[in-house]
Amino acid sequence: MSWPLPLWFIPALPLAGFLLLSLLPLSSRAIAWIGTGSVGLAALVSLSEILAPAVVIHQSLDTWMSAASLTIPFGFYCDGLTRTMLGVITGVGFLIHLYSTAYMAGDEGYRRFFAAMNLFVAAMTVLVLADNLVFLYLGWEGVGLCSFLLIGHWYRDPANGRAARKAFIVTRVGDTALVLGLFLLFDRLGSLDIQTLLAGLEPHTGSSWLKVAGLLLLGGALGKSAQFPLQVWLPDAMAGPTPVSALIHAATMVTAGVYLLARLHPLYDLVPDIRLLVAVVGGVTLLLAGCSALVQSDLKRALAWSTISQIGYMFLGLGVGAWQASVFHLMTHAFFKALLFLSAGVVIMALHHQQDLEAMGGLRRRLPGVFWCFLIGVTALAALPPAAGFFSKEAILDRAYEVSPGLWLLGIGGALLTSLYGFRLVLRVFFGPEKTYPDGQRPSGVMMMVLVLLSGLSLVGGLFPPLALAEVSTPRMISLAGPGVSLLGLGVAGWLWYLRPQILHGWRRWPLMAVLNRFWLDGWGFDSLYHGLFVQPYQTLSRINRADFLNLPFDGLVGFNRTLHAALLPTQNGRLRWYATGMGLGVAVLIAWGLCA
Amino acid sequence: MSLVWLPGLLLLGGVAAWIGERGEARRAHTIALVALLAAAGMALLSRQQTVLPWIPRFGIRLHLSMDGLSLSLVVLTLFLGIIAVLTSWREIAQRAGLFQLNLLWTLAGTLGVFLAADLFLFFFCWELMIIPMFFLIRHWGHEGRVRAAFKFFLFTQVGGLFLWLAILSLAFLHYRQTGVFSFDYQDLRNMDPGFEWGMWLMLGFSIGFLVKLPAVPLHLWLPEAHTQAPTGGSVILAGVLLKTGAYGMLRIVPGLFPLQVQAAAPAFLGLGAVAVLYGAHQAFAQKDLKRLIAYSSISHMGWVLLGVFAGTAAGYRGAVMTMLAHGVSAAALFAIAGMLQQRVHSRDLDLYGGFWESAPRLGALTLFFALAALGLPGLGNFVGEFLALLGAFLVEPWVAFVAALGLILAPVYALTLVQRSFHGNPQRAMTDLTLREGLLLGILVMTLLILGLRPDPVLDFAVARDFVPWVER
Repeated sequence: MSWPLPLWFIPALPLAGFLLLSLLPLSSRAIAWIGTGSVGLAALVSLSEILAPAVVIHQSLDTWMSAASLTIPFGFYCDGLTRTMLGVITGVGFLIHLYSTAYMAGDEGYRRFFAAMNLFVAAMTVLVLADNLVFLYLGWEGVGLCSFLLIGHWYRDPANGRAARKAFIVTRVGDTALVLGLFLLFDRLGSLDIQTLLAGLEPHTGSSWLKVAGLLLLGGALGKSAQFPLQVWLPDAMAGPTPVSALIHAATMVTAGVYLLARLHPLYDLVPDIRLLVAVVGGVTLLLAGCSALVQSDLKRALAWSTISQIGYMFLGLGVGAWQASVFHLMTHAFFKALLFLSAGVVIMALHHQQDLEAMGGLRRRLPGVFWCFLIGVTALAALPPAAGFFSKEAILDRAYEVSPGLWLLGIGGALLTSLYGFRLVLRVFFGPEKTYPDGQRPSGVMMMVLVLLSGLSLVGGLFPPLALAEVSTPRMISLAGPGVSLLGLGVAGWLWYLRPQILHGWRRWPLMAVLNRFWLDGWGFDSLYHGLFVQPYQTLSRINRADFLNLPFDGLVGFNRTLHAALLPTQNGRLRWYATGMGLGVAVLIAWGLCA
Repeated sequence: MSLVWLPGLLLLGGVAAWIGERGEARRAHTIALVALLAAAGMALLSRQQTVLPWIPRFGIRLHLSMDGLSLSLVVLTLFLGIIAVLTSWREIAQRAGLFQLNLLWTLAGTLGVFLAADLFLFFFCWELMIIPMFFLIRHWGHEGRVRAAFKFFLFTQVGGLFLWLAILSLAFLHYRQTGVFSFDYQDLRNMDPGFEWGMWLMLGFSIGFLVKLPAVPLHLWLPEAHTQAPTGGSVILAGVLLKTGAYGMLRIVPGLFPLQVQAAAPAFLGLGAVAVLYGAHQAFAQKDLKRLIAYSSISHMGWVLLGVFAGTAAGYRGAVMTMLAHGVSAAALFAIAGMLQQRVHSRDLDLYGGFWESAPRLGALTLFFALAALGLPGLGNFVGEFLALLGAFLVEPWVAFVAALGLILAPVYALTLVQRSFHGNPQRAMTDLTLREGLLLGILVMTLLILGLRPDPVLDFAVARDFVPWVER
């Protein structure tokens, strides 16, 4: 077989892992080997693709479905963007699988967990490898399914089930928009092959249907990537095991929307209004989520809001036309956010599944290794040089400044918030008085190794931008603003959560602050808004109409017949006198009617 | 071999099961299974056309013909018939011979509907499948069986009346125009009844078929009949009987009234969209597991209407695929409902919960079929829904837009179904799948995967040659 191997090997390997894991009764040792090994092999094949000369590869297996002029193949397409995504998915994915072998040890759903994780990697690689939008949609729905399965992994608690269902349904709203956008593209351009589509767009510049298509596809991206106004599902998705949060809800699946828009960036270049909307959505989301991250009391929820906020940066980048920078940030974010989640996992495990920040503090001395890893993660998150996040975030902000200072200001505001909530977490978990003694499970060697590797990537990953970035002509003073506000955030965080915590206690007494705190904690009230607008009416309607009101006319017909039956029954009483009277009366009426007419 | 033998074998097999039971249920089940397997073998060997004289005075002949569409539906019918017999293996112990007689006669009627090329014969078979089904529900059903059986009978019978009047009028029109009595489908197709008359006649045919499909608001018999029928009956009702209505809308109505159908297509598309949404919403509202699945069937049949009346090649292929895939997925869900009811002795979802712990394999398979129902890509239902919706979008984008909301509502009921029965705290232990159940569901899993991943060979075969898309896209 020729090297590098055909592209379909990449999803096929984890898919085979999924099949083995779900069909065979295996020992936990075998489960760990198959689960991690299949992703490891996929990572090797991906690596061979990445190291191969950077050419575009296009391979088609067979036709999936067809109708008249529509033909959908199982087609694979690989260019620089795909290679970057493959590296992140299989590389970070492999590390997280490795970590999970220890983290999930002893879980009764060990096999189920790895089966779903393998299926996820298979679906996610299909998503980034697909050469047409329908095959992409197969991966898109597949990752959604795995997200559902893994959020609800601990199925005994109905709250987990609710979170899983919420995630699936909210993203399905976006998916439906995506499907409609895809129909529109096919309707106007007669193809769903991505490269054919993009090549055929030129003559349609500025047409209004293209704007609608751009909006619909954006809808799909908003759902999957938990952006405003469909961000509500991601914080609840933290109900899943922590490695799931790291892999699916931080590093890979939630960035699928970014991938989609980056893949289709020529389309958005033709509709500048919609592209600007992408930037505004990103800017709004990053601030909104940054504020919410600032007040969370649950460690994982804080990280979830941070993810939403960071993806907001990626959308900002896409919106200002710096899609390469967004993909760069996607990559570095995958490194440092996976690192943060996995470090948080160690902390949570050591505290007997305690996730509340109130119960944490002073863990720096007890868990020094994790402390350093988490610190590196937050440094990268806060975009402080020389960590990876600095380079990618600067690339986005630079371009935003060129396009619109207003958008740049949103990004800078977000940078301040990022640094504030990031270091707040460090200070509240690892500094201050010790509240709970971490006598839970200690991290195994494998887990620490994964953390160290991810720390390394978070530190130096920024030196290797995966795609050609736009050159910044001259170093500008304005570029210092980013790290400047991050340092400011570090200072303020230190002041508020370490040096002078009484200031915060003072603020808490102000009613306005309490209200704001509550509001941000609940994610700006979107949950209750949607509950009131959609969930409640739908449930009420179904409760009222359980018996189906359309039965009424038919039941009425039955009732009418019964009544008539009851009313006429006494007339048939067997008495001759009664019948004779009836006949006489009838004849009289007929004669009278005849005379009058 | 003559096509008459296909339904004929099932009729004889039914009688044989009845006589051959002699107090032992297993014997009747075995005879029924053998009859179905024999018919399946015969279906693949049969010739394409059989014409025998029947009532020459009115030009009525036993004219059966089989093309790709008919053969696909015949195979579906026999396949699900086998599944239905297997699901009844344990459940039906009382008068099993009589049960199998009714089951096989219903299936014989269905085969006749799919094969008939003479509208008198078509209507004869249409009635033939209703009456044994009435007895199946009436005698082997659950607590509310009497009401459900009568409701089923009355609705389909009134629908059948419209159908019969329309067939008779068409035949008389033919007599007036040519002086020859004929009920032959091709003869009647070649005749032009005039646009306005055609419109009325199409309405008559459509009412008959839409009751069976069923389309909202003529669906009311379905939730009760499906819920009260024994498992085997529900499998046949959802998997096969609904498809006779769909078959009528797919072949007979556009075949006989091509011009009228084009004029009325927007109305049918609207009906389809309403059915998709209303069915999905009502499915979510239900507490009774079988009622939930029943309403989801209404929603799925809406996709068939959407696909057919889009008038595009994509829509038509989507409609055919939805018929096949829904037949399999709904049959599987009803089979699972039967398995759960046997274990828990209830269909009330409020009494369900936490079954995953003791029955993970049953849970995983339920999840699989629920995912098929919500249209997960890779499974047959997705191909059907996607092509039907795409076909409709090319013609009436706004109707497709509204119907697409069904894609959001489907996971609401499908995931609720899985979570309410298998997730949550375990309340009781139950036995996991038996070998027979696992085998039965495993076959259905494979079928849905094949339909979902390799739909083209099936569709190329199953799409009727006589259908001409009236919208060239």
